[in-house]
Amino acid sequence: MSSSQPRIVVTGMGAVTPIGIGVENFWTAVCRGDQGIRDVARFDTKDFPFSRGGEIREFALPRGLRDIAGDTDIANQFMLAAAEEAVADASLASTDSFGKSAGVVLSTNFGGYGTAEDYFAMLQGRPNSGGRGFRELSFQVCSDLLARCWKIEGPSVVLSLSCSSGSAAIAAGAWFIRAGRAKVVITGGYDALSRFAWSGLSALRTMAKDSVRPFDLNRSGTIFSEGAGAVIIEERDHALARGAKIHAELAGCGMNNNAYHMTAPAKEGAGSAAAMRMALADGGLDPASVDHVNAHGTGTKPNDVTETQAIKAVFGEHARKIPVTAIKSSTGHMMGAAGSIEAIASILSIRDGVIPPTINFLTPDPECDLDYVLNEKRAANLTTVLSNSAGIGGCNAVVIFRKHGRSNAEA
Amino acid sequence: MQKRRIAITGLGPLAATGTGRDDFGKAVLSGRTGVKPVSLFDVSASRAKLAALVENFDVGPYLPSPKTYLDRHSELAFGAMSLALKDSGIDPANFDRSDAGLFFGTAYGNMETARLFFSDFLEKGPRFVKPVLFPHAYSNTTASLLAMDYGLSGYHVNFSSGWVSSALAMLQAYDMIRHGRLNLAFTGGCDIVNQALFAGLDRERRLGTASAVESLRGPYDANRSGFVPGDGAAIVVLEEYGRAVARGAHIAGELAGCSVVNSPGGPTAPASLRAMSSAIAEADLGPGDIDLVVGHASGDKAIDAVELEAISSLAKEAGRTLTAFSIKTIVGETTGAAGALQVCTAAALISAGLIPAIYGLRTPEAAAGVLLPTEPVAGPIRAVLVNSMDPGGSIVSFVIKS
Repeated sequence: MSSSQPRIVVTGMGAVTPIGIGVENFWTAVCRGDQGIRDVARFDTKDFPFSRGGEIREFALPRGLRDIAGDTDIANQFMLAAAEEAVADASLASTDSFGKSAGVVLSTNFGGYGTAEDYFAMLQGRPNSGGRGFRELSFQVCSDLLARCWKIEGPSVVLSLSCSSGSAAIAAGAWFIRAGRAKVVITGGYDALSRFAWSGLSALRTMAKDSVRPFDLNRSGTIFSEGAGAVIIEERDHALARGAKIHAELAGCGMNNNAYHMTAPAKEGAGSAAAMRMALADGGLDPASVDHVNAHGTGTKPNDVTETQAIKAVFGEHARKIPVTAIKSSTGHMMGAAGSIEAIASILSIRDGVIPPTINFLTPDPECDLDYVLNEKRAANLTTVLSNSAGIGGCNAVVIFRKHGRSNAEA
Repeated sequence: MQKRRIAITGLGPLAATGTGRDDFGKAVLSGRTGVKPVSLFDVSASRAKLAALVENFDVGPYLPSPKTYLDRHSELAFGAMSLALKDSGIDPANFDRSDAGLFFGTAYGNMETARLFFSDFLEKGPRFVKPVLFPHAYSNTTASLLAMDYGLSGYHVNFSSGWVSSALAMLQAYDMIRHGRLNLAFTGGCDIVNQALFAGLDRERRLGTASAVESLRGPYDANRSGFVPGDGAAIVVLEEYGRAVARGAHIAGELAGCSVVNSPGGPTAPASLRAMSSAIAEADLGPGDIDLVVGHASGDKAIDAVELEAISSLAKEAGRTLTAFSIKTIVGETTGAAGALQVCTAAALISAGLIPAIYGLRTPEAAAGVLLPTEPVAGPIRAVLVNSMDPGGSIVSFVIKS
């Protein structure tokens, strides 16, 4: 790590999740062990192999955003709403010209493909198709939306890195700050349940029918859900100069590829381990300084064991002392939003000294033998938290947060 | 900290005009267009009829390992990657893969496979979709496949940022090498034209109305009516300059400055000027040092005008005439891949010391201080400005030094 690399802090957060809309609502719910999985109602699941998902039913775009959003796909609406909460949280809206030195870096699996289904249907000559949604085929529409909202003149970017997206947006976003291309970056991850996504994800054989049970011996898969998370990162000096509230420091980050297989994790989680090492090295951090790992923890047979192996490989003896949790047990797998929401959970864990539980756990798996926080939240004095994300195509992204005010010397 | 320099050491362009640096370069220099009436898919319902498609591409020789299925998008990208690696002289069996990054960009990704996958759903229902297609339906499918086949396990990013996607990929790689994080990066992108994309762009009235190549009007032409879409892929190998020299690499140019700006609502002349000026300043140059602009211009009525106005303002600052060139009537508007193909173009023109006439330019728009060539212009090209834009307002500019 270069010592001349500017330090980066988190100054705003926003959340739209199946267990709560708004950061504090989400946080209360996830610490309580709520579950956001329900029968999907947005489309008919009759002929699908799976009918339960983390669908958000109570969402409505705030009035002030409806004009600018127009008829944009619900995935983009989730992102816009989360971003608005984060911008207000960061006290940026009141700074008229923050957009001049700000960027947006988002990431998603499917963007607004839900609306693009209508366009595909029209091309195929299906009846009752209005042909809407061509624009949604380019994910840039979401970043453009946020950029118009807050007059963003720095980088306006969308990535697509499957389910590592939320964390990847933070890691890639940090590089725009390090390179001096923005002082503030609104990062975000977002995705929505659509027939397109559901038909594909159902076919991948990674889903469970009832609930997500990370690290449990009888776990049978993940359950997909939807939403958005926004994490505003800012050059530390810039944040201090304007007296911003600082939630945490982004102590390190990294993203890589397993370079192994499209859907299966690398042997013994080698790629995930490499990503964790990349993030630790990025921050000049000793693995022994990590107090807690917010796992990717999807609840699939392969992920949970390979992630366990990866954590052991990276942390060695220290691995057994690190409490690990998987909040996908509560939220479901929010796809592109997962990494952003898990970043928020990591940061709030530090703030409140509380680790939210991995719920639905009944039976230990001898292959998953780390200190998981099971079924009930746990009090813990945390300084440094690492959050893992991974996605189809072998993508990994890791972000590490540290209590603000600490430095490597103190950690 | 002393900022490091970035060398361009490998180019793998793949477009309607040709495969690989030599082919591509010859087509650009001789003004040979790849634009033709579309035969690959049905355009009878569209006003537009032309595209620059890659036809009959056999990906076989370019694949490190056999595949049972590849979207055409992935095929072109594999072609570009193989070509770039070969062009760079890097031994595929012998380089530090954890030190190399893969920075890929695509506006539409594997949208054709996504559409194909979903067509079974629409026609027959969820029980009859083909599971094997879905992993090939993601935006990041192609980048992942490249990483797997080439063992690229280091930094990995896939930009899905509209038409500036490959430009952003190159910009982030440049930033990371410059700041000492990486020494080697495979950058670039790919986008293909399928019926869905063609029909959609046509419906939005963005495509030119020429039905024959002869009536095609070029970028910056006063009678332009829209652009022609094109298939395109390009991988550009970027390397820390000292290392490139040390291994005796052929250096096609130096990526000396980059910038990224956003213009909410769509590109404007002031935003375009800001992007160009920032890139020039970052390259430690002045506007007067720019011998050539490889423009974003594609034949779009509004955006070509915006860019031209910005170049005109830049020329005024420079106190000299600036020459603007575009390849988009040769290879079409390749959307997410355009930035990388434009960088390949800059390298080809630097090498030849020649700026060709803009294909299809009959009546150049009047723009003070800007030369829009209708005849080739010979002379040393020491610094090139490359512009990439997305209609939504994102703009990336590069400066490449010879």
